[in-house]
Amino acid sequence: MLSFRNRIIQAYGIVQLPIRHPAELAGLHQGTGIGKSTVLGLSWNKVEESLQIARRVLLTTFALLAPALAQAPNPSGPESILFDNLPVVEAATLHTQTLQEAPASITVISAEDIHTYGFRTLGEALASVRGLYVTYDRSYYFAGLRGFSLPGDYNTRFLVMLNGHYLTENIYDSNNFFGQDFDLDMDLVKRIEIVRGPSSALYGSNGIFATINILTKSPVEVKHLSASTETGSFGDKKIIVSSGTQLGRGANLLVSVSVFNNTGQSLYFPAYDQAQNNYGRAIGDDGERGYHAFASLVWRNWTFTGLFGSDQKQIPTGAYGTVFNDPGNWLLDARGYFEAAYTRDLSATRKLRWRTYYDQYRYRQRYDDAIGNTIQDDRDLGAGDWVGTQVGYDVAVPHVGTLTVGGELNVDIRALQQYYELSPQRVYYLSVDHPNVSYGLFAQQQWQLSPSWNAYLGVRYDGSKNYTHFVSPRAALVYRASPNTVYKFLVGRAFRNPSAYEEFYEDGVSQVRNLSLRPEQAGTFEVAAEHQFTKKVSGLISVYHYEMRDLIEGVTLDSGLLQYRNVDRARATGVETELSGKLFGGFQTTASLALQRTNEFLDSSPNNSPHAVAKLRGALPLPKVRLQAAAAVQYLSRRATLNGAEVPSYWLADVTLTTKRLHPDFDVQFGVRNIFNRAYWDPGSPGLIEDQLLENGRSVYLKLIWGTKE
Amino acid sequence: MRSRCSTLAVLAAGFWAAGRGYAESLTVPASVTIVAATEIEAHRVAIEGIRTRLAKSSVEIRIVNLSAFRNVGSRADRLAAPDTRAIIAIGTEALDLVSAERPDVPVVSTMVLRGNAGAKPRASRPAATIVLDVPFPALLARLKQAFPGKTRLGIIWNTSRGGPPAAVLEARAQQSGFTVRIVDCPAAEQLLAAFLTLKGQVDFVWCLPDGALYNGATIRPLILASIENRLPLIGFSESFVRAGAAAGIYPDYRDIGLQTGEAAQQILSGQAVPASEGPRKLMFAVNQGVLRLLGLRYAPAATSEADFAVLQ
Repeated sequence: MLSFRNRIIQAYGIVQLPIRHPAELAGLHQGTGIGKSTVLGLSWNKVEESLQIARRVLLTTFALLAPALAQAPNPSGPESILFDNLPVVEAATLHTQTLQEAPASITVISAEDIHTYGFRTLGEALASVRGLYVTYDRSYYFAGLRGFSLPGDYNTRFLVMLNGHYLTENIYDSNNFFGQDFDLDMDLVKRIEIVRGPSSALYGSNGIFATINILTKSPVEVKHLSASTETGSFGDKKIIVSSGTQLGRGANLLVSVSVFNNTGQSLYFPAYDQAQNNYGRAIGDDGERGYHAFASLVWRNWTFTGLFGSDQKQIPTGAYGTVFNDPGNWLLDARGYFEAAYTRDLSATRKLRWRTYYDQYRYRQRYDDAIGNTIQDDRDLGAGDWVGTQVGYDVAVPHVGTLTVGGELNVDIRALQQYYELSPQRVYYLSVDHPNVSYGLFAQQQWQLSPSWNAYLGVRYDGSKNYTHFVSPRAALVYRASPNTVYKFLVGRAFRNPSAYEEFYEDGVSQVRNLSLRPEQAGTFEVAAEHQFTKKVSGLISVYHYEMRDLIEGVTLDSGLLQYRNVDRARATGVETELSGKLFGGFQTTASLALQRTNEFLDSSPNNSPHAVAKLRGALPLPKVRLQAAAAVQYLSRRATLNGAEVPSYWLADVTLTTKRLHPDFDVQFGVRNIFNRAYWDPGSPGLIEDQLLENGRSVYLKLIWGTKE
Repeated sequence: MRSRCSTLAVLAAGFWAAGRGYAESLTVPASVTIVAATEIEAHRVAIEGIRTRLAKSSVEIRIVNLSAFRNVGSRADRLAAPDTRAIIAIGTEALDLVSAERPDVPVVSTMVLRGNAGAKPRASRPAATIVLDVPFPALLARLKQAFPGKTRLGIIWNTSRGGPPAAVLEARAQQSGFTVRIVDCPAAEQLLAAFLTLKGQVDFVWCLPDGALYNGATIRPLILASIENRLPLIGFSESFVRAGAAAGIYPDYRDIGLQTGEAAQQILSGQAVPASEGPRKLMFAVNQGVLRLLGLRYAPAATSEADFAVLQ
């Protein structure tokens, strides 16, 4: 019996990734050049299709924005300081690490956006963002950006942070998940910052495509007591209780707890449409339950944070040959950490940040396998515990700019992987534990070359006990052509270390380890232009190119065993545009379009890689009826599946209505997802018989929100 | 005889018509020109107040936008409309412009700071001035009401910009049960150091509006130092409070408009007006989050005032 991860790799290796000779690789490389009849590697038909979408989106948006094209304010006079909009120095900024000033293409989702559009999971919030798309394989939600989202890659090429704390776990390298299995409730999120491009020069491993930093609300921003309950289609039930308490002497505590229990849907899988498989109907196999707990204590320069969450999800897909329509197949992810952080502005030009933490991750999975007439209960277990510390120091170098230096150290206490049969008899097939010690040193200098030109040069050195060292440089040039126009030129190199699983998993029957794995690496180049048309209307365009090599993927050896190797290369090229504005009557809208071409050299038709991703959303306050109405539309072009087929393109529309102070202490939110009940599919992950998974139809939810005045 | 009578009748009709026309010309409504930067929200609010106040009289109001003047070379024609009986200049830049272009017309200068109102030599002096400076006794009264027991006030002051002597302030504070410590800060680079000298010695630090000291760059370290050192700031605008000051006191700009309208009306009717007035109505706001970080609570009694605002 294979572990869950092994099953993924074996299926992936057999179907997709036979070993290629380096010369063959080179040939494939040559064969993937951009032909004359292509634009960014897309065929003309696809280009035309994409341009039509772009035309519709941009025409609609420009039509909406036209009335708002007006002169920006230009206050003057000595008394103008009284009328100036001074930048908000967030209380939370004292204690959290914001990325908003990074020289990169950034999208920010505010707490107001989350509330207005009714984002209930991180995945829903990310799916609203330019170029990002989320795939659901009925076990996990995982994100893709710039056309890169391998089925079964559970967010290992993103870096996800909570208030600057890395959420990457130390066994499978995943960065938490984006459904209810993300361990923080969205009600607690103050802002989500999505920084595109490589971030290894500052943060080390994993930040290849984007860095997602989730900032929580400060305890002083949360009401004394608030609660919300949700109920919706598919048996969704959730309750959240939060409290912000003033402890005295400036100490403030935020505590939030939630529990959820979703009964799920009865699903139909055509591939199982046989009598012995209940004619393809999985009934009572899609449930999910768990809890989230978060606490934050802020006192002077200190912040103490604790996060713990657990999510148990049934697997209805009969993955890896397990018994179909068996509610006993499930997986559980539990993640937590405790952190103490200290931040201090030593002077107007010097700032110190320090944090130390303990993290843990638990993964369990049960597979019911039919062995003759008996059910064999097989279990997978991953248990990681680690401690670490980070320090950062910012200093303004006179006549030059800000210099940031820092370092970090992470020490694994445990990185245990086990695979065993629980019944009929207890047999261990695997039990390995290779704790790692890793460290990094980084520096970034900003140069104010002139009032219009800023340069950023950063470099980071990473070393570790289990993996090789890596140097990640990054350079950026920012040119402010006018007060309203900025050009950014960005070049960098990012990496991802092999995970403990990829390097050390060896059970003797399915997989062998590979101690010579090298880090994956990606070289990137990006040019972006941002323009503020008016005070309320802005737009941007960005062109990028990625070259990735040493991609780590599982391959099948002659012995039939799997091994992870640095075998693949990939290239991604694309363009992204966005226009957003606040218009008449408080109406605000954002439209975006991303066109891209991703090319894996081992696979001319990369999986789950749409050529076009378009988003349009808008929100309108209706003060007379104390209501806020919001709608969002997203489009994904067709994507290849693991078996070489394609899932069709789709449009999805969502509507959310939220009352605005219906009562001083009480509000209601009502949402409809996939309002036109469009049938759409996501590519299936490795190990699934279904190559295409039918996703959720129309669903509704109702949320009641209650909070004290203060 | 008949022809003489008809000639006289024609002449009489002519005189009557001419006289009526003259009389009509005498009753043409007076015109008041408002010069303002209409893109500034506070100016627009003040204009609304002026309009409200002048709506009762038959005064024609013309609004001239400063930014249009900045872009167009010639402007005297608009300001020089012959029927203009008074000009309301909102802000220092408007006052400079009006003084240069129309020294012959009575001017009401409004929404200026006291130190700047007379800083520049001008061809003529405004007939009336409405300043934005918050009266010191009013500040003390509001602080006492919102934070009873906190009686030590620090003031960061750029003394080169003028103002009452420190002894006067100290005497006024003493009358209200406060002690005052004033720190001179002539430049933005010294702002943080000046602020930190007050640590442990005062309960609040009052920041007076001064564009030379406060801007987007200097305000962040000041606010962070305020929170780190648990030394609350009293800001001069709602924006300052939102940015992170613990509290703020600032004029109600609509009421400034009403006040300005009254002064203009008095000038039009030939009445005497005070040369300079301060704001009659003030807003007092607190930043709830910052108060919690600083371990402060405002007295519930303060919330009973209509002009008390709690910003989140």
